[in-house]
Amino acid sequence: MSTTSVDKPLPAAAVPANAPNVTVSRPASTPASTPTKTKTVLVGFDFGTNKSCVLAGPPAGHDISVSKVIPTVVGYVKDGIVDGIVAGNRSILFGDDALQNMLHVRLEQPMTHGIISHPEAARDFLKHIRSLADPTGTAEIRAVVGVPANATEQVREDIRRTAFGIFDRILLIPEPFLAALGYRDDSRLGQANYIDPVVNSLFVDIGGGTSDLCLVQGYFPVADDQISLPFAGDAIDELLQDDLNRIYPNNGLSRHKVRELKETHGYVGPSRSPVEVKVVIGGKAHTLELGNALARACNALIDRIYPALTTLIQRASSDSVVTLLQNIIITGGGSQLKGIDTLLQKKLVEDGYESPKVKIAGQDYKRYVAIGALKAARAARDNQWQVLLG
Amino acid sequence: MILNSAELPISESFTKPTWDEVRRIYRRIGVLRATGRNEEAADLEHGELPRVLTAARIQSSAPDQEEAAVFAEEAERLANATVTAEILASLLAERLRLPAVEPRAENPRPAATAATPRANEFPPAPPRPVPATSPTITDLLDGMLSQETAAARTKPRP
Repeated sequence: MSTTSVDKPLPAAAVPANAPNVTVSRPASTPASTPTKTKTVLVGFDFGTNKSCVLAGPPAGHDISVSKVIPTVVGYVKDGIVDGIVAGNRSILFGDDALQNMLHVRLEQPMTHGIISHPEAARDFLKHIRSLADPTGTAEIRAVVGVPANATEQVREDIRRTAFGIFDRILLIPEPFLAALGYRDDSRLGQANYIDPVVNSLFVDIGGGTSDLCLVQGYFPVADDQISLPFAGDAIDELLQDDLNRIYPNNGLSRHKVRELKETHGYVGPSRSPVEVKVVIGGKAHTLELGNALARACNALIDRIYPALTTLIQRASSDSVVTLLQNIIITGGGSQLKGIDTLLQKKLVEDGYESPKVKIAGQDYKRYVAIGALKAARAARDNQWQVLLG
Repeated sequence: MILNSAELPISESFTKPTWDEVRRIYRRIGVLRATGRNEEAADLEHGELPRVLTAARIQSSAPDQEEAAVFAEEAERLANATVTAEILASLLAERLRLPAVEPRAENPRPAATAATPRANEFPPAPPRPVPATSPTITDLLDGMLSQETAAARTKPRP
């Protein structure tokens, strides 16, 4: 085992994609900062399959210096692009910049189904995140990173390996649990009429690659409290695109456009046909009827989530389940599917569950994981952080 | 390099069971009933079977069809096995000059054939006290780290 410390960061090339496991250790009580790193920046990071969210701030207080939602995509500028076409003649673009220049770049998605599928792009993306959090490049970065519920050790190890030399200390925490921390209104803790979601709730975080469900009942969730399904926004997009290709052959709609249509018109429950949408295909305007295709694709998500939801409800103790049923919270991009809260609640009522209430987390649905991650970063003691060692 | 304290608890309890596991438990229930061990059969039927069935359904792209197919196939296999066993028992008894074994009146098929367990049938959860006061995040992180430590200790060394 090497004793190399991240206090002397290695260049990216020194950590090949097939590098062996990254060793982590927890300091006994004192920080392992080098003298050159005079300040510490805390990062809460939701490394999503399609969209990521980063929040950063100092260890003390509640200030947030960086708050960004970024499409999880890296664009490598193609050879032969004329100077000036890409702003700043950069060779790598990230997020919206990459998407806006998609003609001139090779787009790579670092993540698939919530796990790192393109290590080089993932490393470049994390470096970009670091540069946002600490433009000077001199601070010690401590990052809490969300991972899918019940992520395997391999998934975690891939994140550690990718973060090696970029973040100095790291904590990997399940996303739905972080969402609960983020959703918690700290100013209302202790109020009689406030149900603390961290004390008793069931979080359903529907992302791009995975749908993660988690019982949050006042202790750190064990494996049986969490379910991660590899079926989420991307899978809906795929079903929708297949259906549209069948109904409208040669429609020329890109996956990106299909996702956009879903995000604008997606719904669950009985068919709301007609849902007519004008799209430009081959330069000509066409009207597509999406009602039934949207219902089929989006309801497939309900078919997966509902059994997992009832599984976790059944696992709650009888003492806690009545309150739990009042606090089922849906977050993530999937929470924006119209009718998802009412449909899940209706199904629970029909199945005899006692007065269930299913709520949508709200407008900050893209940020709750990162908010929770930054809260966790601020609360973590020195000896709770993992130090990445080479 | 070797991973040390970052080894985290990984439960595959939800992702591991497959339809094969459902088949195995279903057959076990059938065998237990056929041999008169009804209590054990009932335990499996109300405990293990719903759990693995739910897990298999969640992983399936067509859970209803697949479940129906699995149970139909296994019910047929059990019925065939029972008939074969009865024939064999009669032949053996005749050869050994022993009284033939009467076919069991009890249906050897597990009750699940008649009333297939659905996703909302689960074993009772162990009691978990919910704290009256809001826990601190630091305490929650301690809980996470103790889980990691416990998992690292129980993980077999290569």
